[in-house]
Amino acid sequence: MAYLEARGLSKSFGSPSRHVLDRVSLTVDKGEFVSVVGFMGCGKSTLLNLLAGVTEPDGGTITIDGKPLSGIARQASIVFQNYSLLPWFSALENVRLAVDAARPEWSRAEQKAQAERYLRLVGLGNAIHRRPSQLSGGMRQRVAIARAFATDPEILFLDEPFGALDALTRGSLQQELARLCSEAGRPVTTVMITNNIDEALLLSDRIVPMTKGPRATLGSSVTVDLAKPRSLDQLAHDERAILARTHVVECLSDHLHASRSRPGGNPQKPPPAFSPVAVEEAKA
Amino acid sequence: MNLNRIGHMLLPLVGIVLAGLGWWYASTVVTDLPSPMKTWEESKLYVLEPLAKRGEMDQGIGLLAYYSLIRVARGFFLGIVIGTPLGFLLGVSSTLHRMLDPLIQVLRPISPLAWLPLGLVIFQKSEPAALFAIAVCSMWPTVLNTMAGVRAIPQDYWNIAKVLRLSRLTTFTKIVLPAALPQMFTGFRLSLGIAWLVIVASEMLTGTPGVGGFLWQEYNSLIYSHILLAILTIGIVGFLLDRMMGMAEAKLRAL
Repeated sequence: MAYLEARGLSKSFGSPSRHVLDRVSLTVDKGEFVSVVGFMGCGKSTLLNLLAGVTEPDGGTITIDGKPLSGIARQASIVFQNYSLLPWFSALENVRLAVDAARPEWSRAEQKAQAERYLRLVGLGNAIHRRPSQLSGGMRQRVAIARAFATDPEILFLDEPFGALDALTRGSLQQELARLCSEAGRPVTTVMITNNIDEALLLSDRIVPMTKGPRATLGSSVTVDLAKPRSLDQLAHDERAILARTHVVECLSDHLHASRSRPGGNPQKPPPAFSPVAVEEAKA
Repeated sequence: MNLNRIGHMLLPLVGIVLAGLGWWYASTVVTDLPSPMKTWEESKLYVLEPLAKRGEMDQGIGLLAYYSLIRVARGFFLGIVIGTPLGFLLGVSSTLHRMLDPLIQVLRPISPLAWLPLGLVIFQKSEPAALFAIAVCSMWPTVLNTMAGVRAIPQDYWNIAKVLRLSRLTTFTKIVLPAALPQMFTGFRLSLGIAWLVIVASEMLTGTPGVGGFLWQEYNSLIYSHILLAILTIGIVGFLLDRMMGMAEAKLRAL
């Protein structure tokens, strides 16, 4: 049963209006981790903001757990690329503020304990009283992730959560995120936006390629049927991972070829003859 | 490097000495203008016994400045109590901004000398009229800077409020207020400067004891050196006030 269901979402901006999204549909099952992969500026973030209820669609419907979405869902947490921390509060206060909003009935001490617990979980036990300006980019994003999980969300929206980080930091944070998702008290449904296929392969149950906007649409999705946690090494060699990657790359580059002439060679991998069906077969 | 530092210490003194020389030269040309030496001779009593009280206006300069400061503090406080919430409202609501902005632009350049008679008409007494003039003249920088501070809050912060589903009150206390505070303080600083300008005018017109009242009375009593004493006092106190606010502001920005 689909937990998040979006039907025919359209969104345009400005005047004369530019159609960023045109009749986009997506369903996500309960506990599923779905990544939407696409080029920069293709409308991924717009889609995420619609799904999360940050902005309203011009057309189409969204339901979460069977209820139509209006505004940001109570059970949702969102992590943005730029951390979105308040600079005048410590890491602890930033997280506690979220806990306070989600659990106003808790005492201040309980809220603090919850915030501390999640900051420790992301490895910031020693830095809870530091302000964002005293933390590195990776640490700030850890705070943002701790904040997202501390409210015990049912659904998590991640907007390029590791986009602003260097490769090494990104790698370790990706693992942390996978661990947090698996250790959470209940299955956390997750929608992640990314332009990094490896990141999507590492974390997702399913990957949805997104064509370049304007009038962006979603391609056919690929199930990544590999046990978690996964390692980058495994992704480089496992046949199913390679097939999934190929499908996504092909779907994205097909569209690229359709819209402009082929650049000097494919930056990823030469796509072999392939169809989405092959992925489904490879799973079995 | 060292020479440079000595230069930085000395240059202001050089400026003061040059200004003093200019004053002295002017006093030799304009017969009624007291020279620096004469000014000092006639003002000594007021400066060396700053807290002496000999009569209603005949008081030490410290005491006179104190009266003025109290009056300024009350008017300024009234101004920011009205101006800050108004600034917040204008910053949050563009409807309100569109409605009131032309009005503010018209009210802003009105001189304290124009407001004071209106205050006297409304309140019938000089003290509330003076406070009214100070408040209504000095509040505009607070209004406009608070408004600008609220409008400059990055979308990111509004998003946090939205995403965390913060209540209106929490959004205000945890996000809007801290984000706008540095610029609000710039407004307070400018407002205080204006309040200090207004005090002299309002005391002159209402004849209440204070530096401005003293200045006007001594002019009428033809003791011109005391005019210069009052002018210097006004300048120095204003400078110190601005410095204090500047230091508080710098501390706030460093947070």
